[in-house]
Amino acid sequence: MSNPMDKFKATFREEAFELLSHLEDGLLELESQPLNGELINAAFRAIHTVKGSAAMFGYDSVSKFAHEMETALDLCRNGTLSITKEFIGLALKGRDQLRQLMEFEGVIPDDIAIEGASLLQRFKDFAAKAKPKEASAVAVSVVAEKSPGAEGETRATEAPLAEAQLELSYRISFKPSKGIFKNGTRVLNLVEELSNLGRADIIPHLELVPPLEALDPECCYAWWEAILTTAAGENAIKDIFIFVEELSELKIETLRGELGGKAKPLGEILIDRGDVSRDDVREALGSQRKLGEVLVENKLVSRPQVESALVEQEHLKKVQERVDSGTNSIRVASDKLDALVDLVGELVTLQARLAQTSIDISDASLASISEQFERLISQLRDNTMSIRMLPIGSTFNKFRRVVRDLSLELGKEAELVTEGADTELDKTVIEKLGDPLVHIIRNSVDHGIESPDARVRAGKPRAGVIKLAARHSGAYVLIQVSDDGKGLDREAIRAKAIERGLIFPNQEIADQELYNIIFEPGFSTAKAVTSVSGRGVGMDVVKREIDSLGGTAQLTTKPGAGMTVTLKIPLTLAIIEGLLVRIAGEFFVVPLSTVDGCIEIRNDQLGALGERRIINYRDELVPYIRLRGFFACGNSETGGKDEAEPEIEQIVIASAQEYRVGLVVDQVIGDYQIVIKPLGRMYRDVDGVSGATILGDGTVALILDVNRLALVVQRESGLKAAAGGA
Amino acid sequence: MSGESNGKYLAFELAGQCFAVDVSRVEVVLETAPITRVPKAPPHLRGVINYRGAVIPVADLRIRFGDGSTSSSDGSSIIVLQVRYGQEDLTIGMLADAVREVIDLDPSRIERPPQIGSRIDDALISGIGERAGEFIVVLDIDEAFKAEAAAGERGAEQR
Repeated sequence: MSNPMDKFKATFREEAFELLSHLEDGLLELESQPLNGELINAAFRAIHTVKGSAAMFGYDSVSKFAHEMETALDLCRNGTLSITKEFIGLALKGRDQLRQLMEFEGVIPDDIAIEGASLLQRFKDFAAKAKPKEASAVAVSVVAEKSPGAEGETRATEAPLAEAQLELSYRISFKPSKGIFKNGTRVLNLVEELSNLGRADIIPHLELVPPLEALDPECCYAWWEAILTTAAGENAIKDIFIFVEELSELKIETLRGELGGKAKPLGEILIDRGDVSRDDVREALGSQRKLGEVLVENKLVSRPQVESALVEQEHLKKVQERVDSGTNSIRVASDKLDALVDLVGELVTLQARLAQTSIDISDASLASISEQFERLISQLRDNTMSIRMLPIGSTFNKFRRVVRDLSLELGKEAELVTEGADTELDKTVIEKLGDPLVHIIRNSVDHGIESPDARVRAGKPRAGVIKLAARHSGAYVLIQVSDDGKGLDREAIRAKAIERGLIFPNQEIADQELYNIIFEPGFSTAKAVTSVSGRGVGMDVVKREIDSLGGTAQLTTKPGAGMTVTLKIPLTLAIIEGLLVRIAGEFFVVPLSTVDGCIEIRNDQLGALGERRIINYRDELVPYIRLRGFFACGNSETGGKDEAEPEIEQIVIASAQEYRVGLVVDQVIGDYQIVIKPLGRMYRDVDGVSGATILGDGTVALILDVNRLALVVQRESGLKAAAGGA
Repeated sequence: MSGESNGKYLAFELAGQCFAVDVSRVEVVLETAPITRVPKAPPHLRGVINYRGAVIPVADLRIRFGDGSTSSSDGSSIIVLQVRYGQEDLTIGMLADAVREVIDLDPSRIERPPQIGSRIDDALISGIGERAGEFIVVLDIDEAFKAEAAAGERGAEQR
């Protein structure tokens, strides 16, 4: 970066890429709303900015190309030409071309240059259409109605369209009747469903709950208020409560007018909610103390009412902050962020060492320093991790393009709808999710969605819908890709699985397990190999990528109604909680999120090394594996340490996918924060181990790959059972 | 490979033979570091160690350069090397029975290995030098570890 120009250039490129990706989103949206003047304007502005700054930094080919696109778009903007599907297709290709031109700075490969020339010509042809058309009839008259002078008019007609996407805030009060429990309604589930719609703050009201002696446990005394900001619309909210409408009092109010302005004062909110009169507020304000306190003291409102109003205020403030956040964010190079995370990782490791040392020394003052240090570091860790969190929506747009291009190529009609685009995930996780999701979505378009005619025959709308939804679930994010296509053909999969020797011909296998065979390498039921899929690469790639992220993939399907792939991905890859265990002097870590519990077992009840058995854990039969045998621990010939097994061993019960599995270890030591380090490519695909971490004493411990171990155990016990049954 | 012309090499012993590697590739020599075994890995990969907060693999070339058996003596030192592998730079530890010193070898005096009479695969050797009447085998570490890593990946695939 000796040349200051280089630095500007880098910034320019970064911004141009961003603009081009906005342009892509805009064009795709424009395709479904071709008359939306705002969208045309936005696309025009994006291309105009790219053109201007490209010229400034000497990217002549870029600016020349952008100029032709701009000309064409301008004709659409002023209403001379109308936006057609073909134009959108052309503009999207043009956008890709611009991107490529940016990437090959200076030297442009021939094929791209040729492609560019032909695109350029097409833009010119398109623009040339303008003149004769102006004179001629039909198209112009349609456009003309829209165009005259009227930004305002256009907006007015487009408003309902835009509104569907707009986020609104609602105040929902839900008072279930006392007897609601008696018909088996789980009231809390309903309330929780609200938070799935968007950002929700839920305020439980318990003031009607009577003292214990008067309380009838079968009655519902509580009621709830929720402040919800969502794009889903009022009907979606009503749908949640549709089955309890009769039994409860439901009030939904829109808080829309307050968006965009400043946060309302508490008094206004209370008046708005009808909790208190304006005069009372004015009087209370006169006393120069906290308004809420005064109103409660004077018994004008109850404390819960004030608290609920405060929550509402806070919620709206946050929503507003999000709206404004564009101005409050800074751009940081991602490698700086990575370096920060690495440093925090080292701190966590060092802290583990400090904690260990302070235990060894057993000095009270050192222990207290170490504990404070630990608290600070864990806060620092959480903060740093949250910086790396990005909304997954940034990748969703890429998929919209995939669906569009692919369905066009295959002569199908399909549309991608997304949900939960603001679900946040670690940056590195998002980057690694891109490819697997593309595979799944391509698979859905190719195998799932039927041709328009076939869909009509089956009584479905011509255009298929692929839904991409993301939401948080504990320390995981669930990402679902579902389509309304024809679903999986159970018998075809079964036949193929038998043919490939994955199951026995007469083996009974649960649907769930059968469908998961799709993730096996080289498995495809497609009868013909197409350019899109059928080669059986794809779903196994998905599986491998998701495994490497420490996640799981699951598939459900309904014949004729489509299928759903659910990916469960950990929020972060860098630092996790782990359970440290010891086997014959060697240390291993089990990711704590997979651990269900630990039980002790006498050594003589375990059976021979390497043999797999079943144990009863909370009334469930769980197969277990003796890691000592599996990993050849306690045996110096294989490089382990000679150490006999203890009399009492421990079984860590861990769950992976839908299975539970027991891992027999010598001793469970405790739970630690661990920084995940890759094992490197020399140890790629080593069985049963997914990574490594550095312990407090500086030695390395291996992290167990619970998914993999569970699969090994489940397969062997499953096959044994099947062989026994057959 | 510009670094290889400066004539400075680190000499070490492995299975009774003296070897040398280009000193510009050597990060550090660790006298003691607890090696964590990675189960189910091929035998020439001895495990992993903590090197400045990163987890790096430790390879044992004795299996390739020695008489083929795993030496019972635990290497007393680990030489940490920068290795070029495909498109990326890897940091790798290599076990050595004893590390001697940094020596000067005149590049022009390093000769191609003889075609016969060597039990060492000559693709892994960039030449043989002589110092004080002793032959010193100069390793081409990129080639040596390419073979090691490939073996590791093959081993993994076979399972």
